[in-house]
Amino acid sequence: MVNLGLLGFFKYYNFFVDNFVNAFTFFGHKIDPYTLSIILPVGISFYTFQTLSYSIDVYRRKLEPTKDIIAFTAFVSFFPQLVAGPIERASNLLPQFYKKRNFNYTNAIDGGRQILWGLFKKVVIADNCAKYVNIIFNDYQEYSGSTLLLGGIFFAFQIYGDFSGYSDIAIGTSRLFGFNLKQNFAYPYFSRDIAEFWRRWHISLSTWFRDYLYIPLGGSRGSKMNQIRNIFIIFIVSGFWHGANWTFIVWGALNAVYFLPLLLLKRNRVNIGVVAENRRFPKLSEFAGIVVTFLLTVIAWIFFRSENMSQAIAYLKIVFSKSFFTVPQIHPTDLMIFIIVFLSFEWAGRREKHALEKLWFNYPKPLRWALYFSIAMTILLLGGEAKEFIYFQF
Amino acid sequence: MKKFIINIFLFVCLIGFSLVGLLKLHTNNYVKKFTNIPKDYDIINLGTSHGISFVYDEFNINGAAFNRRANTLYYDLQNYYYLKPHLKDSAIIVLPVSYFSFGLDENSTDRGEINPFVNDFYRYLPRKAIYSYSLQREVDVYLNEIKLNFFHLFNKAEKKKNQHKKKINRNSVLLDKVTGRVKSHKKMGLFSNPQPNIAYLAELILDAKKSGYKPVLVTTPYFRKYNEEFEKAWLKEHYYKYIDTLVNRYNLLYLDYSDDERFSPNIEIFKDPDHLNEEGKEKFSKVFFQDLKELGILKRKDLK
Repeated sequence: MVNLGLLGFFKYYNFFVDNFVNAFTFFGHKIDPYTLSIILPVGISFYTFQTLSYSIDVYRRKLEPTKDIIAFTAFVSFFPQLVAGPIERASNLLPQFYKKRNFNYTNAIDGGRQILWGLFKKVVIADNCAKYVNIIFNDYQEYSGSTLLLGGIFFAFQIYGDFSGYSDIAIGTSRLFGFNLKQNFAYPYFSRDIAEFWRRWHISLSTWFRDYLYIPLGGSRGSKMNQIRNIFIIFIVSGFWHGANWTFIVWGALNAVYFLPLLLLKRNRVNIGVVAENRRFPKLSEFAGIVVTFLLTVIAWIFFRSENMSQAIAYLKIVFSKSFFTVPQIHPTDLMIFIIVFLSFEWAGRREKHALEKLWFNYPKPLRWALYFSIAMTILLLGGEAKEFIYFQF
Repeated sequence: MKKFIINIFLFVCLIGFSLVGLLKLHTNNYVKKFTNIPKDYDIINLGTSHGISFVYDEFNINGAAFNRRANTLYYDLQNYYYLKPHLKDSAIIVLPVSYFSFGLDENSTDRGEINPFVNDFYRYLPRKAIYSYSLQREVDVYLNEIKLNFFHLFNKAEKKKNQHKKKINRNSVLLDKVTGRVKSHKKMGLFSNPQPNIAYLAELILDAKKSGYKPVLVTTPYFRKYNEEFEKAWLKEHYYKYIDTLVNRYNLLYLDYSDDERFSPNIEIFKDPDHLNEEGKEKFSKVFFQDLKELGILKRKDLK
């Protein structure tokens, strides 16, 4: 209650007050309540959920309460993942503080590779996308439907590069110190349906909601109505977790709508493994699934990125207008090349925990070094203007 | 652990050497001018872009232009201190002051965001001379320079492609530009409180006099229509008032060519409303040096 109380106070108080005021105004009553002018503590949503998982696991007797205050505080405030995850479970991270860690060369060097890849995602992909996303979203009325769709696609890559980039840096940094954190992203844009996307996107949050909300609610057991209710609850709460804004709630609800047909047709666990696991390229049907899933997420991301609901609706109206069938007014070739290179690397590494884990491992060492050198130089020379991580605000 | 540290060290060195290589690949002309001073000078000029009006080699004068586009009086002062060791005894310091000079301010956001204005100063001035020095900015400056050099490798080909641009009616373009330029220069002239700028210029003048140099305040020629768009009252309030104060207070030589009949009416010698073209620079410099000779400021020994 204390954990959730703090989160509610800092993050949601003003949202509820504003909506109460709007509701009262709608019915002709004007009220002037007290609102807070406070800054949201950085990463509050992440460490609140991390501490909640500890409390719940102890309550459920799945975890022994720790008597080691240093280990507990280190678990809550572990610096690599403190501000933007992955949201760790006490059962995974806490025991790692108890034992002595020895330096492991293979683990550390792979951690270094993961940090490098995370930086590439953040600085080259996310920050370069951000430039065009801001231009398009800030003046969306000025652009054609095709340009706005491109803006949505760029935002999809921006948020993925930004958030999964941070996770890679956090996981890689932890590995340098001998800690192993959970994988948080597993190539979500190669998902063949929405259910698979949600098994691969922000895994630490999805599994948190699954274990502490969805399953206690009954999960996929019970009547169809209960299943539908549970799906909507979990997705809407997930949206609300991101921020006190209707755009996040609609983003969550829209994903529930995408997910529902798969659940009702019992097709939500069809695509479990890695796409084209033993092949170089996907089948045509898999490729079509990937494209459709990606476009559905892009539409949902438009809500996520918009300032408010009116902007999101106006934006989508233009996307689905006649101007959709025109050539986009903005077509940055360099960014397109970055995205293609990025997707190629991700595709090549889709069986691993991060794209560089085993990339070019069969090649001689100088060639591998040349690859890492090129990535580092690309980060330094072709990175976008420095931007704060998006998920710091959550 | 040892193997890991060696590998990381080698990787960082590889990156570091490549970055240094790129940094050394090309240096912009402004920084080159300040970091590679071949001799000591008898005469130099500072100032904003209007300082390009002075040409020295054509007249066999041992001098050089150290002006900088939209330069502030603060950096004129710092550049002067930096250049002092390269000045001969009793050198002439020409100080071209633009209409907007007293309003320019390092604190104003309009300037702070423009990279090249401040970045180049990080490349050669001592840290204490940099206005609001920050280490992060210095790192950014060097990284930015490396990036520019990297792109410079590709831009050479691009430049060649654009060389065959159509010729346009220069005079009509020049006339069209006047109102816009005056508007932006008036805005620049009102950025901030002029008192610190007057103090910087006064410090420069005093130090120059104390060191035995000969400071000369100059307003370079502007195209007549440019002058006409500045109301007399505006100029008096934001420009001549301060010039008069400095001239009177420090008994300073001031030469005003802003609306000189020999230059201002002649559109053919301007490349834009307030900058002379090559022909104009030569014409003006000839007059300027002649005036300095007649006033006894420029001596025969100053000639090459």
